[in-house]
Formats: sequence, C-alpha cells, structure tokens
Amino acid sequence: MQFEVLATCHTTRARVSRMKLAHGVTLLPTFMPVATQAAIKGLTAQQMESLGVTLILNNTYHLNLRPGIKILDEAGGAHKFQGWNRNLLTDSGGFQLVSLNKFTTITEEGALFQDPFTGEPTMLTPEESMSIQHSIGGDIMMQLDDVVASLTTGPRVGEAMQRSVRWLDRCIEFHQKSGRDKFQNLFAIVQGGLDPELRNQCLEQMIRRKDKVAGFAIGGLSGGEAKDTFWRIIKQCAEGLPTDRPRYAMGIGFAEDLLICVALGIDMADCVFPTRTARFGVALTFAGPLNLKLRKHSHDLKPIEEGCPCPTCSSGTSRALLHHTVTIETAAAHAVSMHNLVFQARLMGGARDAILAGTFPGYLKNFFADYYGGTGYPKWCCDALKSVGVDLLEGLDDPKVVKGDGARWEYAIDP
Amino acid sequence: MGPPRLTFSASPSPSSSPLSSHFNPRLGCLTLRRNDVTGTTVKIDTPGLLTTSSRGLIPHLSRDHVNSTAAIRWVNIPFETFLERTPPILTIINNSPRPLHDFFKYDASKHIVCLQARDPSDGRDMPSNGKDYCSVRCIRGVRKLHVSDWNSYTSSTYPDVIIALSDVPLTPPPHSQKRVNKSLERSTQWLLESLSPVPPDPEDRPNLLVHLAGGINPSARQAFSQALTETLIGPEADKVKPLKNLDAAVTGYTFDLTPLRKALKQDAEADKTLVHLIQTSLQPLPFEKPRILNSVRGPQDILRLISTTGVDLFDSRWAVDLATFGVALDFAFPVSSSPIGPSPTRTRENGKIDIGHNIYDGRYATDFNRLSRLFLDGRSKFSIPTSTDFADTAQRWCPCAACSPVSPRTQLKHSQADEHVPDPSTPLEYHPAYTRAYIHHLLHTHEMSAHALLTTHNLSVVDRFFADIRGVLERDGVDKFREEVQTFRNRYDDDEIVGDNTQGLGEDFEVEVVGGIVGREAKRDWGSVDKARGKGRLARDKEKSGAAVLEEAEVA
Repeated sequence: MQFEVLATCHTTRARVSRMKLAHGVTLLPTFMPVATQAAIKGLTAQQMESLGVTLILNNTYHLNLRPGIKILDEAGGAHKFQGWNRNLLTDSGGFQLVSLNKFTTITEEGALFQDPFTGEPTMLTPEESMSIQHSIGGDIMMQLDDVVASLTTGPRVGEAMQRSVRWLDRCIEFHQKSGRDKFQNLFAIVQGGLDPELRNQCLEQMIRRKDKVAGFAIGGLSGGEAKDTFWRIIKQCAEGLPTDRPRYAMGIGFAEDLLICVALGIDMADCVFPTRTARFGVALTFAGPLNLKLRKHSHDLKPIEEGCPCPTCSSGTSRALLHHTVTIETAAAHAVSMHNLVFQARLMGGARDAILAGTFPGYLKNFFADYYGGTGYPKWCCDALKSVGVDLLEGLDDPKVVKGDGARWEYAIDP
Repeated sequence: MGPPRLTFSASPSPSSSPLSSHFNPRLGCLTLRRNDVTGTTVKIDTPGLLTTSSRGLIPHLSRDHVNSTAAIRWVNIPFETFLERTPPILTIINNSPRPLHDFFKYDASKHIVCLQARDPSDGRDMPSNGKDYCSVRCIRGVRKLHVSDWNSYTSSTYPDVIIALSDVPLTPPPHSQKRVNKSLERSTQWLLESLSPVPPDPEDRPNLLVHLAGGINPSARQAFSQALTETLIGPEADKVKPLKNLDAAVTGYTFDLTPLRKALKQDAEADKTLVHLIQTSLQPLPFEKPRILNSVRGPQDILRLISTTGVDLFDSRWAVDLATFGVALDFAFPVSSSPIGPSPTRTRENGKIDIGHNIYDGRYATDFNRLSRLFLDGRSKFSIPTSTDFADTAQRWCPCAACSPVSPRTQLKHSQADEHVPDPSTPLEYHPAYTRAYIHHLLHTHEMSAHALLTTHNLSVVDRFFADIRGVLERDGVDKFREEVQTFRNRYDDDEIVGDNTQGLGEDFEVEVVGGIVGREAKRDWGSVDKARGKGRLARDKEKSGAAVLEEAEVA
C-alpha cells in the first residue's frame, strides 16, 4: 500500500489522503459500500464502477459459508468471482460470529461456533481468518478480533481487548509467513469498548506493531452506545493513531456520523445502511432522508434530489414513480440504492474537496444547516465539532438544539 | 403535432403450398414514426418480441440495463396499478408530448410504449365486469374502471399504442352463452365509444389495437371479428363518422392466452384448440394488420403459433419469469446452428434437452462458464483474437450485461482529486462474462443481482431466437422453416403443460410454470430458497442439496 496525506484541515483533524492498492487508487476520506455476499444489492460490478466507487467491502463470514473457499480459490479470488476490478476490503468474520450466532464461545485459540450448515462445532482462529481472507484476496484484510457487544461492561471488555492484541500478533505472523503481505494489507482493530482507559491501553499496544500493519480500524462501536460516548471514543482513537496510516471507523454510515468522524480524523467507514434503507424505500438527501412510501410523494414529479448526478436523479426519475414501485419492484430498489450510494460518495467527495480547498469548517456548517436546520441540531454533533474547533451554531439567531441521537427519519405516518 | 403513426408491412413467406396463406408464417416490420420535430422512427422486425412491465418497469432491470438491452423495443404498460391513487399519476403529467416515456424514462427513439388496462397474464378470478366498466386489480383490491374514465386516461397520457378496453370474463369458467354474448356486445360497444368522435384527419387518430373477443367459443370469435368489419348503419355509423366500420380505426389485433387457457383447462388438446380459435378470429380480418399475442409459454409455443397462425409479435413474460426462477436460457434455432459445446443444458429421459440451465442446481456451483454455451461472450468474440471457441459460429454472441459486461463509458467523479475517471476515447473493453458459479451463488444467497443478470440475458436470447426465425424464413422459406420447427421440437424439451404441473409446488403458484422440466425444477428450487429464510435455513439447504445428489446418483 502506498499511503500519502495530501492535505489536512487547518481547523479540524480532517485530512485528504491518497491510498494506492493493488486494484488502483482510492481517495480518502471515503465511504465503502458493503457487498456482503459478493454483490452490492441488485447491482453489477460495472454499475458500481460507473457510480465512481473505487472500494467496496465483502464479508468474510458469509463468503466462507457460501460459496466457500474452494470455489473462491477455483475462481481465482473474490475479485474475479464477482467481476470487480477495483479495491476490495474484507472484514475478519469475527463480528458476524457474534452478531449472527448465539452459541459462539471465545477461547484463547479462537472463536468456537456452530457451523450453520452442519451444526458441528467449528473453530475460527486468527490463522484461519487470515487464510480465508487470503483466498478471498481482498486488498485490505482485517485482523480477527474478539468482539463484544458495544454495551458490554465489566472485565470481559478488557479481556477481549487484550485478546484482540494477542490475536493481532498471530494474524501478523501468519500473514507475513504466507507471503501475501506483498499485495494484501492487514489492518489492526482497536478495541476496548466504551472505556477510555482500555482504549488507551489498546492503542499503545497496537501502535507498537505499527510497522507490521498497513492501517488501523476502530471497532466495537456503532452498537447502540450513546452518541456522546461514540464520538469521544472515535476522537480519542483517531488522535492516538499514527498520521501515516489510514484510520477506519467500522460500521458507520449515517451522514452526520460520517462527517463527524471525518472531522475527528477518520479516513474510511463502511455500512449496509444506504443500500438496506433503499430497499425499505428511504432515499438519502442533503435535506435529510425521504421516505418514498409516504403518500405525500405520490404525485411529486421531482427527482429525489435536484442536481444529484446519480443515474436515477439525472435521468429525471420522479419521486412519484419511486413511490409507485419502491418495496414492490426490485428495479425500484436498484434505483434508490444507486442514488443512496452516490449520496454517500458525494458527501465524502465534497468533504475531500472542502479539505483540499481549506473550507471544511464551512462545509460542515452548510451540511448541518441543510440537514438539521428545520428540526434542530443534535447536541452531540455540536459538542463533537466544537472539540475540533468548529462551532456549528456560530452566528445563528436562536438556533434550535435537540438531545438524542439526532438520526433523521421521515416517519411512516401518512398525514 | 399528431400522434405517432404505427404502420405494418407483412408479406407471406415464399411457400410451395398455397394452402391457407392467411395463416402462414410471415415476415414483417412494425414501424412507428414520430410526428414531432425529431421525426424518429422505431422499427421492429417481425416475428419479434415485446416486453411486459410490472407497475411500468421491466422486472429486475435498472434503467441502464433497460437501455443496454437491445431486445427491449416495445413495452406494454398495464394501467390498473395506477388506480391506487387518485388522480392516477400518469394522467397529470403536463407539458409533455409523451408523458409515459417521460414518467417511466423510456427512450422515445428506442421504445414503443403501449398502454393497456390490465396485466394480461393475470388469470386470477375477478368479479364480473359491468355494462360500462371493467374490473381491474391494484394493490388495494379490485377497482371498477369505467369506460369513460379509461378513454379520458388514454387520451391524456398519449401512449404510442393503446389496447382498447374489452370485456374478458375472468369469473370462474365455464361461461354461459348469455355471458359470451354480453362480452361481445360490450367489447364492441366499448370500442365504439373509445373511437367516438373520430378525428377527421387520419393522422390524428391514435394507434389502436383491439383484443379479439369471444373466449373459447369459435362462433362467438367469428361473430366478433365479423362485427369489426361490418359496415355500420344508423346511430352507430354516426358515432364513428367518417369510418365505414370499426376495423377501419384498428391498427392491429391482440390475443390474450391466459384467460383462454384457463377456460381450456380440461381440454387435453388445448394447444390445438388455441390455434383453431386464433385462426377463427383472424379468418374474416384483413391480412395486413399486425397480430400480437400475450402470455405465450416458450419457444415451442412461439414456433407453433408462427407456423399455424402467422402471429407477428409475442410477449416475453415467460423469459422474464424464468429469470425470476433462476433459469438462464440456452437454446438456439435452427437446431443445426447450435453445436453441442462444453457444459450443455441437461438431456432428459425423453431424449430431449432443456432450453436453459436451472442455475439453482448444485451442478453449477463450480461451473465457471458463461451462461450460454451457444453464444460467445463479448470478451471471447472481440477481445481475445485467438479464441477458438466455436470457430464455426464466430458471428454469434450474446450482447447481454451478463455475458458481455463492458467497462462503463463514464464514471461519476466525486471530488476534484479523484483519479479514476476513464478516458472516453479508449475503446470499449469487455470484461469477462459473469459465470454460472457466481450467479448460482447469488441465487442461493438471495441476491437480486442474479435476476438482473438473468433477465437481460434471457431477453437477449429470445431476441436472437426471433432474429434466427426471421433468418430461416427469409433464406429458406416456409417449408424449410416448418422442417426446422419439427427438428427443434424433437431436440428441445417441450414447454407444453401436461396435466396440472403446479402440483407439489405449494399453494400460491398463480403464475403458470413455463420452460418445461427445467422451469418446473427451477421454480421448485426458487420457492425453497425464497421461503426458507431465517434461522436454520443454511442447515436445511445443506440437507436438501445432499438429498438431491443422492437422487441423481440413483438415476445415474
């Protein structure tokens, strides 16, 4: 991996960098769409490329189950299997072991889980995770970490953090011996739950291994924790991590979260949110999400968002047509998914331009004014940005500030 | 600016037997000329295909795939689902000469858009129609579509082609003589009302197709057709002045097979009866108008109907349904044009081979071939000069987005620093075809991309099929064509329904099963993957694929 910081924001900790991997260049900060089963829902690799996406994510857990390593090896890796010529990141499989399997038990050796096909006890070790990710062939691979639910407290959190460090060492060793480290890049994952002290310990341990990893991720968040805790952990980790490595916040996808993360120094994020919400009929816009199922859109001939370059908006596809078809026709899900992915890409692309131009604080203010101006600024967003020198409320007459997570939903109540 | 003009030219193919040339296979061309500044024409060579839409969209295809699928030229849009909201959105698109193209984003230079009241493949029981309304179905239940409303909808939406409202009884058969008579009277009356008043200038008249009524009663069908050509007198004549008869306002004829098949369920010779019924309707009608048929079941059906009735345009819903159920079509006409390459479709006990691959089947899990063995992929054809793959069929390839994916000509750029924007002057680059193994994986993981790839592929195969039918008719004439039809029938597994083939498939299989044995198997597998979601699903999958392997071992 070649990683180069091109510009940093004069006020916040945001930065623009150029990350060159075996399948091309990806400009950071960026959002990574998730192709869990080796396909972005309903779309083809060529369509994804046309949207200007250069980095997507595959899930190791799912691809290991189906199609399985044997078939991926025969196909020559996941790139060839799914026809994707750009960059690819794979997770370690650890998160799904915990989120999808009730009976997973963690031992020092690895994660013991019930094979969903056979029901037999199966062990996913750090070495096995590396080996699977080698077969997939992603440009970036993640270490196997010991994942605990975000809201877990007590000694288990510390134990998981310590074990994640030990597992990182095993991942590094296996990965280096395999020789695949020439073209596949291993990222470490900072754990430690919501405890700043544990996070600090983890950071210290992992930074010691900096020369053996290509980047760092922040795990264990986005699992229902308070937003006020979320941003503080992100800030702490991003500040602690070295500047010459990319920083990846796992599982982040709401627009407001993404921009806060970028301002705090994050370079990459992923989430199923834009494509999943599209299937439920929600289109993302800079004025907040639209629930296309609502009757108020039934006779609205405007596109989802004026000026949006996505294939759906630029062809003039109306909210009315989407209202008529969304959640019923798969083709409507494709149309809204493409829009939502382009929305995420524009949001991050706009951030890159603003950081390069030295206008990022203004970009943040404009975004939050458009997105929240009507409903009120979430307090946690104001606090988070204030911590890096941006006062969203500066110069506003009587701004409205609200508590809570501030996620914007157009509720499914037909007026 | 008047409505576009739809014209048709048909010539009977050269034949040694002069018998019944009225029903001989024929070559033709449907031409739609737009009466606007663009003066665009859209041409469809016949025999050819039309595509059906669901809620106005081609199932599974995003807009770019619709545009890149050359097979899509004529799109039928059922109106009924738009009655869910008042006023129907399609009727309030102002300031547009082509509201339907604008709303659904069909391309006026490529696509002919045809509006009809109902989805012709929906054969579910319906409440009876009334004197001046037709019962239609939308997501909120059954609605009454009044004739006057329909006429105002069709006049405010400016479709390229309109299918006149007709009274097709969808109450459970059999239908009494009285009901059949009523159906004729109403269909004629509704047609009359939709025509009146007739614009004096023929250029201002819409392109109107009429569904040939009469159900499964031959004399009723004959009576309806005769009523079209009868010289009108009295008040009826006044209504359609200056026309002499109704047929003078009709551009072409349509047949909906679904209600006929429903009524013929007990008829062991249903396919023969259908041919007879279609011929009965066409007999009194002029030769030179296009014949359009909905709810055909597959290639055997198409070849038979071309051979015996001279139908010009067939719907392709069956091919889209097969894509929904995971079948990749892989057949060619004439049979001699298709050497058996590697990984052919399955041969059945009757010695015939499948018209496609049930990609759900475990045999495709490690099959890294392109979908079709009979046609090259774009990369093999254009990008690898030394490809020896079927050297003798070098010109045949499948242009679909699954077999011949191309690098996008444009890519969105999201920031000034982005580097990945392609140079538009570089030549088109074909990517490797999507493999059966990949699509097998997508089907089993319930990924919608599978159906998008299979839909564009299947439509492309069907388009090629029609081109080859025309080729044989043009080069070799009708007699040779009929020979080839027989050879095709002997080679490929038939899509005729023998008895009730929905048995064992569960209750809610309302769609007719098409595609022969492979279609039935695919539908079964689709059903089990589609329904078996949730906890423990993977274990159930595993069990089943184990059982299937055993079953095959026994057969072998």
